[in-house]
Amino acid sequence: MDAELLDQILDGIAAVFLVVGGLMSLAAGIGLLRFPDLHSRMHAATKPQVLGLLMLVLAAAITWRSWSWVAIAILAWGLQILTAPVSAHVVGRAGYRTKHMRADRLTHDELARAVDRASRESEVRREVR
Amino acid sequence: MMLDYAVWITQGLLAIAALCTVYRVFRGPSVLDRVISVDVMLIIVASMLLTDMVANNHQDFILFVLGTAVIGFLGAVAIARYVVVRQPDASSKGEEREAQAAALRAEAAAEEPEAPYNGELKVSAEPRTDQEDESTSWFTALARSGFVTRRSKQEQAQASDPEMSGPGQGRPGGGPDQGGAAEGDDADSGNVSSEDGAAENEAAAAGNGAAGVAARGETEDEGSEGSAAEQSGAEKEASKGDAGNGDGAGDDANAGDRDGGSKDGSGKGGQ
Repeated sequence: MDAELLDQILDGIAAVFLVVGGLMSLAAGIGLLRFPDLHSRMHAATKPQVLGLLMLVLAAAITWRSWSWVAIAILAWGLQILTAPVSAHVVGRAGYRTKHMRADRLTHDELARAVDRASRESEVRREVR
Repeated sequence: MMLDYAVWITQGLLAIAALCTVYRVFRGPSVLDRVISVDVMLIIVASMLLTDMVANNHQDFILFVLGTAVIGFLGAVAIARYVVVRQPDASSKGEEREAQAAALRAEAAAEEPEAPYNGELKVSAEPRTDQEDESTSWFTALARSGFVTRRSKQEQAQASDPEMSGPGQGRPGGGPDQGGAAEGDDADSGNVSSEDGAAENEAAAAGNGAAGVAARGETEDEGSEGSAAEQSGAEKEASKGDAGNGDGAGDDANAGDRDGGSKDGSGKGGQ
């Protein structure tokens, strides 16, 4: 009885995690569809990369009932955590420098002052202008 | 059983998300939008693999999930670097060109009242809309800038004798008035198609060396006409029209290189 109840509880948790992970991906898709410019779309796109994948990985690990698979699943999620900021950083920087953003939607542009100073001091890099 | 429902629901949600992502890849205004959409697409595929592993209780695809986590960012990084190199060049070049064109237009509008025969003529102040080639735009800019070399000033000072210079090249005589009329007509109507202008000119000034105006060589041709008019004092009144209409291009083209101008005009007349 005890083991059966535990099974059901774990399955329920895994089911909830699965659906939450799917909802994260759906939120990313809707965000990509609806958001107006590159950086807000990036904000939406990071949801399944971190939270969605974590939820699905935990659901899989719970379903498998094995600590070693938990370790491997967490390893996959850790690698994703390590590499997702790299692409986000590079894409965001490229979007800022090539002006793929809507400056009127920014409440505060903290980078503009630094770019101004850098372009005044040294010779202007083409990409910063 | 609950898990089966959850798996189906999750697969449905992921499918909808994938459709949204594909739409963004299709529509994305810039390549960066497409890149992040493709990233999300990759994550969705990995999520589908995970969901399938949950549903069927196996671990076959875990290596794919690991692989997407490891190398999924490489494409985004590479494409983002590429965008950084390429995009601002194109955009700034376009802005530069627009600024140049605006400057040229403003300059033409500002300089027009000071054109040589301003007082007696109604010079249309509308900017030129004909396409300028990159190789000839410098010449147009020079002609509009009112630049006169010292040598040509001297030559204009002693230009009272008509036989020493230019007019003999282009026109053996007889038709300068007709040529001037045709020229003025062409310039007045602004943007006649080049065939019309050329045909008209050839009809009017048949037998002249400088017949025919290709639309692009207009300034050179006007320059040559202007020089011819200035050098031969008798034709001055007759061809004031073209000289004034060329935005002061008359004496400037004359200043630039007289031979080249008239030769250009005649050569393009042959086209």
